[in-house]
Amino acid sequence: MPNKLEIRRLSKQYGDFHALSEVSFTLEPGVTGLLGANGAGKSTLMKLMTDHMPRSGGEILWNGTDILKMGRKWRALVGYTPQLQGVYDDFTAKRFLYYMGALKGMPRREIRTQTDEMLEAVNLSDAAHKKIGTFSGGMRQRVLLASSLLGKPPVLILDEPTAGLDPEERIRIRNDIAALARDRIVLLATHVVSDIACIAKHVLLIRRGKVIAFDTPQNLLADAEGKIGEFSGTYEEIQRLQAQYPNGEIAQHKDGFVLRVAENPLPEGCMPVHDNLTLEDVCHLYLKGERQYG
Amino acid sequence: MAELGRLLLSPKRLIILLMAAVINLALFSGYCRNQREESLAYYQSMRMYGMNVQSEEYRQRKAYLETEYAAYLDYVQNQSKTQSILGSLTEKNDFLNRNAEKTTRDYARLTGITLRDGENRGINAVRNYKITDYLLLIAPLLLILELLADADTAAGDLVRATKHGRVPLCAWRILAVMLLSAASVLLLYGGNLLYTCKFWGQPDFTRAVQSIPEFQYCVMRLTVGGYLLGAAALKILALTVISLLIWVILARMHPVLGWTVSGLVFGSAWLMHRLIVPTAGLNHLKYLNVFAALDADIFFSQYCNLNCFGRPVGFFGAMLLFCMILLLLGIMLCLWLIGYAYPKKVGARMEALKDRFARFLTRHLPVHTLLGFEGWKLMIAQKGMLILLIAGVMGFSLWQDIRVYVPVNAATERFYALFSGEITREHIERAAYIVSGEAKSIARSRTALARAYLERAQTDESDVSAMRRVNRHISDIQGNIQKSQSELYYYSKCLNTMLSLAQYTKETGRDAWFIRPEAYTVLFQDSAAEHRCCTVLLLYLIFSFSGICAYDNRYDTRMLLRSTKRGRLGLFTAQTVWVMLLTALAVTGLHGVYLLHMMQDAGLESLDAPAQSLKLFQWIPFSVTMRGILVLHMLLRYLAALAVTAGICIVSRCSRTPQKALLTAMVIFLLPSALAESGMEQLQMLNVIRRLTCCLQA
Repeated sequence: MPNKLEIRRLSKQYGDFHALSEVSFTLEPGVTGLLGANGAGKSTLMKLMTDHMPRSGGEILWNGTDILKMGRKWRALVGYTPQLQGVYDDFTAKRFLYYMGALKGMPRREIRTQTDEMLEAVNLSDAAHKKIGTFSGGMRQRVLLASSLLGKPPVLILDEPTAGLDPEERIRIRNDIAALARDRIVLLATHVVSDIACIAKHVLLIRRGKVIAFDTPQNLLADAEGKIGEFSGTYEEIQRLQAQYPNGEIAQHKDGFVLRVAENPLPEGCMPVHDNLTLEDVCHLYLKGERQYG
Repeated sequence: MAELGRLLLSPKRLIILLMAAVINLALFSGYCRNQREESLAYYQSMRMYGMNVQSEEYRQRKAYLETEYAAYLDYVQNQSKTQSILGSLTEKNDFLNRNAEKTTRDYARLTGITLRDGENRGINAVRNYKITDYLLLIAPLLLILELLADADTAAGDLVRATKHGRVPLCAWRILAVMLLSAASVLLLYGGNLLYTCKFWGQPDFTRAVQSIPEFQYCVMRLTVGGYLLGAAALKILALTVISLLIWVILARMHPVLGWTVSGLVFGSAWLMHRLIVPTAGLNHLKYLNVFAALDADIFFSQYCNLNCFGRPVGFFGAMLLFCMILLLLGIMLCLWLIGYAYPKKVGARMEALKDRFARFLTRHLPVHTLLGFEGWKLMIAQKGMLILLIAGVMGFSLWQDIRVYVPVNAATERFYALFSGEITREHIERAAYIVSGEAKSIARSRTALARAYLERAQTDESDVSAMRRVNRHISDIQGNIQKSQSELYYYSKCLNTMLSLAQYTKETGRDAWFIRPEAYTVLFQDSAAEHRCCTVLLLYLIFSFSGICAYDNRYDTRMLLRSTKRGRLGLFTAQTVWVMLLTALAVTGLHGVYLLHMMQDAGLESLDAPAQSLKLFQWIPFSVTMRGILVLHMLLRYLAALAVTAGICIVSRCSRTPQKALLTAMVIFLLPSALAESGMEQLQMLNVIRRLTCCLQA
């Protein structure tokens, strides 16, 4: 029976502010992309899932058992990459991974072999003995990703793991995550929709502490059909229209300029898009008016 | 100008200066009180042997001021003339002749100088306390490190891209280093002087510096105030030179190589200054040295001419010229290599070497356990090893600095030698026999005295020799009586102690031996020496542990650690083990310094005696030896240190960075303690140093 991570009516309150309000969904093996604007509650959700803060209500169940009851047993199952690059500048990459291995309670031999494997996987073998303080943001991010993969945990919670990576690295890491996710639950928060577009089994959209959509990309795309459309015209016309639809995206085609908008129902004069709908459009539809999502 | 304000008036800089001053005050006030206590204990113990050292010292000082200094000047003139005559006859050594002539000329300037007595202890304390010289380096070096770190960031490139971002900016920064050095000297050195004025009274700054016997060899016509200003100016000069040279070295070299070169250059300069004797042929290296300038005092309290191609050159002038050249060189190098030249990029060869070393460490010093990693974080990443080493050096310097005097007289010592140990009936009888024998001896001496008086009355007064003999006889008998009375007093006191201890054993059934209580009294009472050890201990605890949790808080690493299986209790346990181990090491090391002194200097003995042998411990309801009490006392001190460490760790846990944790811990733990130690009674409640001593007697 596959592993299951169930979130039931999970809430978090800071005084009168509801960071999360009765959020419910169930994660199964595969990548789940987590999308939401800044301040939507993504990091709060991840912190609650890694038991970094007390919850105000609800439950997080791992195969039916609350993670609070599991304590260190739960933490032994989780690999976590935080958003902030929290690594020791004075450690070399290899020593840092050894340290994380020790914290994860791995046997010595495992620590050694897996550290080498993970450094190879994130393309850091050449910099293994360099101090992390000398690393670029992308390299730090890869060290963190490698540390979360140590011990091959069945649950991976990744908060923007591809931030700061160059396009080639991004594709490589994305593929690695997809490979890892075959038998693991991966919750991946990112502001680059393309990171999850091709690997996510499910997409979770959060807005102001509430889940507004949780479905497969196919269903979400099907749902968006007829709500995404394009205006065509000269640059001046498109500019005038954008004043009306500030969240619309201007693009240049061979025939001229288009403004792609996500509205339900579509405004008059706007031609619905049928063929090339993307997850980006889905995000526009659900999260428009919010600040930068991701 | 804006750069000057940014660098010097930033809250961070002011806090660093203030903290350096607070550390200095805590250490220096302890030193001064220790000096006074040691003097008093020394006078008291010498008085026990019938010697009045205090009045002897006063007599010597008076003799120096009234006759000896003038005689010394005459002696120097005569010696130099003799040397000059001898030299002209032999004509073998030009330097010796010229040196004699120069010495005559130099000392001739002092003819007619008027010396006045005054309070010298404060000036001598300021002169002799060398730790301040090293604390002076804190603020300028931290500024240099900050400038170097800034240069490595994007802000460094941004600044260099502006119109005034290179040479002019560098000039302002050099000026900032100079001003900060001056501020550091004024604050720390001036703080010491102010403290001594409060502690020993204000010295007369207007008298000639030669009024202080330690400045007998000074050939400059200076007042005490002039000497202080001159010494401060030299220190500022030395500090600026050291800071600028370190800045240039670190800016142009790989950090590892830079620190190694700086360490070698300044370490060897320091060793040459400390180890070369003034009369050595290579004494140029001792005096033409930045550390000689930082010491400053030697140029006022010694006299020396350097052999410069056969010509005698005054060591002060030569050093001043040398330091000025170094200062100019430092300024020019800074302007050229830091301001004008392109910034040095990290050398690939050095990086490769560093990588190889890191690989070697990972392979040959593999750490896989959590305990090992926490040790690595604490001792290597957070420089705990260096802090421990510095604490060790400070402990060693305390070991050399502290003297313990126990006021015991010869009669009591004899009694202890005879009867120390278990109190037996035989011991009491023998002691009583000695006391009664002493009483009988006094009675016999009194009879002999009466007979001697009678004999004097019967002696013919015109017979001078007979009268002299009788008077001498009377005086001898009187002396014997006085001595016997004193011995009888001390013997009786000891016998009474023996009897009261025997009575105690009879009443309570608990053993009590007759032991020397004086050394234990000194050990358990509140003393400045103990406070000095505890000041170093507190500084060690603050510097060593303030980063322990804050290091994990930086960049929110704690969140990552806490998401792992052993990142909570396991991490806490490993950190606690290290904290307990290192605290135990520091406590035993630093308190051990004082305990060893007590063993060696004060004759702490009878460790197997029951603790109830001392009145102080007669309330203890169980049997325990003095050794046990010492262990328990050490344990108590350990617990006190652990309590303080726990406080520091809590501060560390609540701080975002190790630097903030360090400053907060210093403000909470060190600042009130330092102020209380320096005499602010209102803050005694917050005095952590006092709590750390765990004194059992006031």
